[in-house]
Amino acid sequence: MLQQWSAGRPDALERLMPLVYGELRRLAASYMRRERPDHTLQASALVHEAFLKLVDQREVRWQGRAHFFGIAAQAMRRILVDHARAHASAKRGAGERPVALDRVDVAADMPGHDLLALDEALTRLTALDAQQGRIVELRFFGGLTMDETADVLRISPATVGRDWTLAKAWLYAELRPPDR
Amino acid sequence: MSGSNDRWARVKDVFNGALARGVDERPAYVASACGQDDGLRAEVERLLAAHVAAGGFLEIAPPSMTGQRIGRYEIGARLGAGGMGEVYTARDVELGREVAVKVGLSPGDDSRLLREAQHAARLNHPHICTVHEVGTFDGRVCIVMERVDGRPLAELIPPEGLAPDEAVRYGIQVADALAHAHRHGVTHRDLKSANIVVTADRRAKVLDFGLSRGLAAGQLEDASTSRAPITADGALAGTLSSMAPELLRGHDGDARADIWALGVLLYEMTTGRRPFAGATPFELCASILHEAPAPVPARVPAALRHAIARCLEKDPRDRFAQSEDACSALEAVPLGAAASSSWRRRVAAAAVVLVLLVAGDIAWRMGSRTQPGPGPGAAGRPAIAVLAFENLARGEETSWLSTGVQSMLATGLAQTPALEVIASERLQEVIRNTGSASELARRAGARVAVVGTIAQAGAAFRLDARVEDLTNGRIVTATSVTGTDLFALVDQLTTRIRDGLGVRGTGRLRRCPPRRSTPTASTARESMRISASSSTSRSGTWRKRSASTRRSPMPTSSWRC
Repeated sequence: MLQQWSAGRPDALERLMPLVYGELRRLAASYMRRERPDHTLQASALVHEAFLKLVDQREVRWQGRAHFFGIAAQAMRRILVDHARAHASAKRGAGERPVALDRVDVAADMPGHDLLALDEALTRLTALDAQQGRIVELRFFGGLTMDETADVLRISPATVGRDWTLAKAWLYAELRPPDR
Repeated sequence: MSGSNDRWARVKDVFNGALARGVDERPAYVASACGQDDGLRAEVERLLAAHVAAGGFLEIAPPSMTGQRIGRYEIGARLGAGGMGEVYTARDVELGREVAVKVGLSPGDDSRLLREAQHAARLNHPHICTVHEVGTFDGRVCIVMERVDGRPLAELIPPEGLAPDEAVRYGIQVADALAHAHRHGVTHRDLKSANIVVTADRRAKVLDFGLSRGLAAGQLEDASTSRAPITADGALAGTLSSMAPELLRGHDGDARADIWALGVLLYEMTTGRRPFAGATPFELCASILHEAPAPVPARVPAALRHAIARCLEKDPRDRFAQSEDACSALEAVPLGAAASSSWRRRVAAAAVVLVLLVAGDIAWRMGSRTQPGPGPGAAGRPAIAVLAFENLARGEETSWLSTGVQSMLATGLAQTPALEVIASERLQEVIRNTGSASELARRAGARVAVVGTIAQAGAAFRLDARVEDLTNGRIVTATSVTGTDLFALVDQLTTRIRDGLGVRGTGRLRRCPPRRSTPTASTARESMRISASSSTSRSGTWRKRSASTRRSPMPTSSWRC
């Protein structure tokens, strides 16, 4: 499948999703086991590491790399949201606790954030503006830089910057309605 | 569906258009862009408010830049982080000098910050931290600036305040820096003791000129009405307590808001306390707007107390009209014996050029606060002595420049009938024996020094020199010249130093024809594309926004007389 993908069959990558998802999940769990309080896990580090694990880079052209990051960001989003759901139900006393992702550093400056609410708001944003939705997914869940995001979406970094700014404001307004 | 898409496209347009403008221009722009469409206007205003409030929302803490290469800068240890971003040490591999790089936290609408940083990059003053270069890296604003080693002035002020002489000394330096910036149309907007670094030789350097975004209108409104304890945000409290009343009222401040902040600084230096205080931001703002600060103690010279009061006039029209005026008022403050002792620790680093002048017919240049100065040189003329320049390039190949420029400048200044040149060996000997520049000044019978540096990029040289009055730390004149012909540069420097001192030269420098050496490996390292060293490192592009005047693709030349 990897060969098909790198041979220019992006649809092959769609079928890779379970593989990428599994790898990211496994990596996240192993990071957590290392128990290093000084080292917070970053989504970007996970995604990059998964890329190294799964793909022989010599075989992959840049476009393939971009596709990979696009998929990996989606996978990361799913992992984190699944985790948040499981965690919420665990709190209610049901089920076992899955991978401890509490310390995954997806949002340094988002105290008490509600990942599930963000996920839902992001889905609404994507309906309004698909590109902005993708940018948030890539940057927030995939941990990609502005330039990487621009490369993945084949738009200019300046456009990424503008869309990111507006998307953040829109999501913020959705999640933190003015209470005064 | 297409209707909602059209609407979203309009929202995007107006939102982006508003962000491309300054905070104060936004309301008018949004109003005119939305016309009669009140729904559109409400949506854009809602999003703009959310934008201001969002801050670091969704921003992933950026990975450390340590070990990265940005353009020609190798990023070293992280020095600290502030509201605007992170500061790293860095090394300019082309010029071989240490710098500091400030990296903005959030990508996005930083175009205004970039423009302001470009303005700040035009400033060149001994008491302003120089901005060398401005650009973006991976969408984050990067400001490459002079690395200033020292401690924040805020930490140096004891509870009872600094001695008046010290306060005046730093006050003059800061006022002089403000005057320079204001002449270039740059205001600081966040001048406070935490933004001033004092070096080991007691020079104040003002940081972040024009780089402060201050507080956005929304933030200011939130802050000034907040009843939360003021310790919640130290930086905000510092910024607020230096804000002029007109800024708190939402007006655009001009240079006079900086003069107010200078008054706050002087008050803090002399008393150890800030003039206005409150348990909450709301109370602090009320105090600034309506209360007179507690009187400055009588031990402080009356002239200094008056200068502080003048800076802290609530109505900007009652303050000093210009920072030059504030500077002059501070210079007129009579000082005690401590003034010259403040230079005791002014140890000139081994390779700093000192041009010492005896004040003779140039005494008037030193301002009105002249003290009984040392006598003139043996010949009864103002004496100059030249030591080696500090060579920032530090290469083996160019080490001759330190002494080369030294001797050329000495020769050049010796062509001035009104000046007497003191042999450089004698000065270096005094520095070796005493380790003290003020002692040097005394023994050499001089009171004025010129400190200088050489930087080199390719074939281009830049010589910086400044003449300082050793008795009070005032800059008499400062100048820099850039070019490829070292002889012409030294000529220019000589002329400018003479002009700055108000003396005239006769005669000309004797000049030897340049002898070209083979070009050294000075490839124009123009490639700004950064290739990630490993696939897990961040990729990014350094986009330079301000041209450095110190680059040249030409081969290195050297000369010998």
